[in-house]
Amino acid sequence: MARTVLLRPAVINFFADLQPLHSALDYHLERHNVLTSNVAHVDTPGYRPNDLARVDPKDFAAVLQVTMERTAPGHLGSASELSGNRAGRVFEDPAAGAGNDGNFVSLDRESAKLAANHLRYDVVSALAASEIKGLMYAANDGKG
Amino acid sequence: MLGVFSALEVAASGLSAQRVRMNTIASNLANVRTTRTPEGGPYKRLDPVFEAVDIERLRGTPSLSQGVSLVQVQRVVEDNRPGTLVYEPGHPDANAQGYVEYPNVHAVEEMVNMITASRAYEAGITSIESVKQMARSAIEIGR
Amino acid sequence: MSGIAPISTQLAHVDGALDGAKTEKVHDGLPTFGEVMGGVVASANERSKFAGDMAEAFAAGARDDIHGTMIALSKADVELRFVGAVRNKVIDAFYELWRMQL
Repeated sequence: MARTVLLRPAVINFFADLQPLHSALDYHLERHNVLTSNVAHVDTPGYRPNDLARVDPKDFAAVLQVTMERTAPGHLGSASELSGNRAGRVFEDPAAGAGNDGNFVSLDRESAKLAANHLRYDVVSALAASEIKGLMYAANDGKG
Repeated sequence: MLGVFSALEVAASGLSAQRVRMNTIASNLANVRTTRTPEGGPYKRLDPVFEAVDIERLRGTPSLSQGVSLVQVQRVVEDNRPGTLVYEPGHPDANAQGYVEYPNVHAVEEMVNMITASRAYEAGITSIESVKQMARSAIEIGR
Repeated sequence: MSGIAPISTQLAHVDGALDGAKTEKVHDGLPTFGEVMGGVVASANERSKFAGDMAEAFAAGARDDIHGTMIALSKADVELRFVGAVRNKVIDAFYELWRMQL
């Protein structure tokens, strides 16, 4: 199902600030999948851990920004833009060739990444929730 | 799409894989002194071999290319390293020279493997808990 | 009795004047209020339908997107409330004008 909905442009777009938050949520959820896969493959011979490429405006200052430049390539865009960017797969250069099965996954490293990623997802989710709350307040004409 | 449910599937496959590993370790430890097997010769230690498999439900967008895959047991192999020879002429399984070949299982090695398998299992559990909590925060949006 | 006919013709006259007023559009490049309202209502409608479809697909297991579905539902909710609030304001404004004329 397509993400872009409206067949004609909305007269007023209240939801412009929500868009980058939505994209960030997509990104973190996808990254969770990749990191979980790394953990699952800790004993798969020859497996190299994957990660999503860092996307530039990922720090919260940029996410909280009211207007966000989306013209430059590599900037966080809609999910459809992200999915086109599949070249964002990297594998970490392992410090050591790890196990004798040629596996390069470090459980500690992946666990740390998972924890950080989880936290970011939760924070962005809270931001989105609060954004919606604000809009709801305004839409209810200031009456909650 | 890569979302909560795919993450759960991947993590679950990891848990199953580690469970298989635990079972082979248990079998190895149980048979540490098995000098005779139906195939003849001492017990040979077992090792599971894993492989990466595409997530089927994501038809059309092969998950492997996105860096996400399920882990599956490809096969369980026997370790063909020679066992320890112990001089025990009176033993029913002694060879002509009086040596008994004991299985190539080393308790310490198996214990280390057991610990890493257990850690990997826990990491999988943690990732499942994580994604459950993430889903709960998502549900809070618009509540 | 005889007074009614002139009143009814008067009303018809006012009605006709209103009709005429409707067809006369002042075009200065900006959308009229009617167009704006029409756009907003249409957008709210579409968004509600989309959100409903998404929720249905999710419930049926066809889609996996938790935060996407929640965001779509919230957006539809906000937009509907907004349309309702604007409608209330329009009605209030209309009644004020109505009271003024009489």
